[in-house]
Amino acid sequence: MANDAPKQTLLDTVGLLRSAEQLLLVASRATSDLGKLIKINMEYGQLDSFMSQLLHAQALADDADFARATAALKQQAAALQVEEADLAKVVDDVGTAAKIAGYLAQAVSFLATL
Amino acid sequence: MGHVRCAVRCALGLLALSGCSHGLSQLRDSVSRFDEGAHAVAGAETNFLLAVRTADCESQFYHQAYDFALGTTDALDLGGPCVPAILDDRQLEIRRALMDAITLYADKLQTLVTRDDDQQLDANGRALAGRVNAFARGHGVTKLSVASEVEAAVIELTDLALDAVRFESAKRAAASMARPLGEVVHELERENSSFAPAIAAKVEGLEPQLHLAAVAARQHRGAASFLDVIEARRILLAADPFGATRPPGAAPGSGSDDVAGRLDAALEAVVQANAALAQAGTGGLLAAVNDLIAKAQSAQSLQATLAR
Repeated sequence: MANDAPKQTLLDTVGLLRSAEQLLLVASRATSDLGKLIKINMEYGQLDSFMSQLLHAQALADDADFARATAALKQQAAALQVEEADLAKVVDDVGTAAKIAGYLAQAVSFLATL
Repeated sequence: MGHVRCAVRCALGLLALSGCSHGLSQLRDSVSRFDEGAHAVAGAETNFLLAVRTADCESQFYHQAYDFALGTTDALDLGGPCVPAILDDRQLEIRRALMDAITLYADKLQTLVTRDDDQQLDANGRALAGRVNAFARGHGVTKLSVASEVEAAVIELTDLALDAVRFESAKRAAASMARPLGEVVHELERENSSFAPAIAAKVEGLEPQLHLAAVAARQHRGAASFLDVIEARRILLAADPFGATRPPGAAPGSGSDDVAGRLDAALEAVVQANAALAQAGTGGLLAAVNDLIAKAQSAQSLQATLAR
């Protein structure tokens, strides 16, 4: 409920995940390979689920709940790093894959500051 | 000569009275429109928050349907309740309290300019103000140490709504409540801009799922899958809760940013109109209130979209 530093970090991370999602969407439009589309959907779903958790956490109204939620999010940041490594196999365009990986790496570094 | 002087004095007195009465009537009209605008903005804000939940729940269902279609799960619940992942019931209740604090304050201003004898809110207004005030005083709005200003602002606004004698004029009440009103409004604005991308992300997440279904349909049905592709596009456009407000050619989901922007402008107009009431003459107030009404109507136009 306030614009303090940890909440701003969560919102900045949401922005990065959103940028990564938009590039994944562009990548999905460029292929009709079923296997790749399944993987892109999986990646998008994981990013989206993580984004929902970030938004839920920033809307929390209790110090203790907020501390628990951010601790859980920091633990899950490892999953983002795994996604970052998988991207090259899913996204054909090397430049797009590098950009998405960059957004995710930045998101992981933001979450580490919580 | 004495008669003439007396007649002139009388005429001037009548003119002054008439001017005063006209000014009071204008003030009443402006504050009434301020109240109307504040309620319209609160209604639009409620609908926006409900749209966040709708997009969240619909997205959860689409994910379930997608997993079922791919055979990764056999479970399929077509009518089950959704557990919101972004805004739960408690979080929604807090944001409703913020909006109630704004509308109760606007209602109270109206009683200050329209009633000379009894300046209290009606029974329903007092009951709601009492509930919101108790909610905030019990740290219902927030238990976050960093957000105490917002909670204090809700208490101040609802204290005023409950108070029968504290302010003798709407102008002084408006000056006194400028800060708490700003605190509550800015909190809502900050959240609108963060929830807008969430709605867009949920809507856009459906596209690669539909794309996959279209590819599978082409493999099985060949040219007949043209119909599936058209249906996939129809589903994607219909899934956007702000589809009707989206500019032609814009991507599904992009309307949520526009909606959040319109809401923020309307919320800011509430603060500006209150400042005009506190500082300006009736002319300045009229202009600020007209601006509020225009922006509130723009935000309210979403309601028809969301009602579908």
